[in-house]
Amino acid sequence: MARTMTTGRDGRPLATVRDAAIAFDGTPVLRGASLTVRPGEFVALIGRSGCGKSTLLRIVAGLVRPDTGEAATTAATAFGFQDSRLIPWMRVWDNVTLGLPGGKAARRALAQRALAEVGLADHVDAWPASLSGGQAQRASLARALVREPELLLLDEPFGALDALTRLDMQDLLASLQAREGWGALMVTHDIAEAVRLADRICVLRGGVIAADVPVDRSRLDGEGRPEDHDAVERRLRAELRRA
Amino acid sequence: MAAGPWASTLVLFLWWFLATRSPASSRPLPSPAEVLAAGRDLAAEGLLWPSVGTSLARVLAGLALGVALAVPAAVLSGASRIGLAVIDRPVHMLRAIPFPALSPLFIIWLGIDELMKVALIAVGVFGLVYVNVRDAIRGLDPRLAELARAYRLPRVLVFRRILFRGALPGFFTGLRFAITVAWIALVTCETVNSTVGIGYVLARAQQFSRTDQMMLCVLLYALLGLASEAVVALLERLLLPWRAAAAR
Repeated sequence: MARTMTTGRDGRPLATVRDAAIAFDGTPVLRGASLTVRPGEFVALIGRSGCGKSTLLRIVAGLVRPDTGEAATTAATAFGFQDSRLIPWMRVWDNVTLGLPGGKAARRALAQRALAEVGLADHVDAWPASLSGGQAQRASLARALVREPELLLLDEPFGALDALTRLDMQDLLASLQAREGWGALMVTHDIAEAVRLADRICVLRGGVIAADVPVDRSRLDGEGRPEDHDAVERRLRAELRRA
Repeated sequence: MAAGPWASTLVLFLWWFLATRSPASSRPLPSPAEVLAAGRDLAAEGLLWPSVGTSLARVLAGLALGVALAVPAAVLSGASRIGLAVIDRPVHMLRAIPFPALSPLFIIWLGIDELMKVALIAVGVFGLVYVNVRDAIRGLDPRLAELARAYRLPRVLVFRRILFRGALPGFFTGLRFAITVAWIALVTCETVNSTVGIGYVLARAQQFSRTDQMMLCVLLYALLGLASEAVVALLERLLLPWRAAAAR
């Protein structure tokens, strides 16, 4: 992978993937996928299970090298995992600011502010094992956002949550993004979730981005969905069903 | 019941007391009072407390040496493929040797003084700590390694706060076994050129058929073993506080 340039500041794309191809044990997963995320843009990446969307996200994150093709991503990224991935032997505040500079007191204070942002102010000193799934995912989000990313990479962040908690987390993510203005690339298999959050939805099928569907967020309904969400969802379902 | 865990022990001691109420010449088992008297006599002789102290010091020194060698070896072979290839097989061969078999060699190489005793204990400790720590490191969640890469955590931080902390429960498992083995190794050691130590008192008591002193030594081993277990449990509570949260 040629990580030739750092992108991001001064209006350039936060992430660019060009013709990425990768095979695992001889089975091709991506066959020339291209993707761009611009500053402040929320892009959802959808596709069936096993289609390679998590792999494409990891290529953007620099965690996986494509066999061929190029990827360039801003240095200021933060990753949100589906399993929240808090380290069991560190308290929540310690998880949130792990690896950041500063003494214990400074890091705890910083974590406290970040946790208040995600509605977890009462669990600063808790152990991860004592958190519910939704709380753990909030802590994981705080850990990503406290690093002041330009680009947030999310791998099915709400996939393991119950329906109601999932809606709450979607609202939280939408309001935080509206305020902070970072760009996001979110992998999901939930069409409704993609439509509820994204400015643009990329459909990964057959190892390439088969459709790039813009979402008009200028007029939203009471649920925070675009007014034409039915039509968009129908189109995405049709795209996913195609052979 | 607060005395719950101790109830069975109390019953055992009561049985011992009742079973030894006949005249001393008619039974092979000394009574609790006779064992206590043996302890008083040995203390008066100036042998009891120095023996406990010396035995404890030998076990601690052997444990310290064994752990100090085992942990770096386990980290190398748990965290690197080359380390595993180089270290693992010889250690397994060492582990396969019943360590009392090394005692004659150690006497020739290291002499008959403290060094030989500490080394023999350390050999027994080494293998157990090594295997448990190595497996704990190899068994660490690989998703934590991905987390470390995604958040570009510095290598030193990954070793100190993820690898070592994550391997700590395995270390304590190894330490528990190692403490047991250390006391076993001690008995072998203290039959070699000793003038003090619980094993020496035991060997001397055997020569004079003093069952009261033998029983005292056995009880001392039991008490010291119990105390070691309590110390490890306390260390675990202090160093692994997240496990209590997980159990709730």
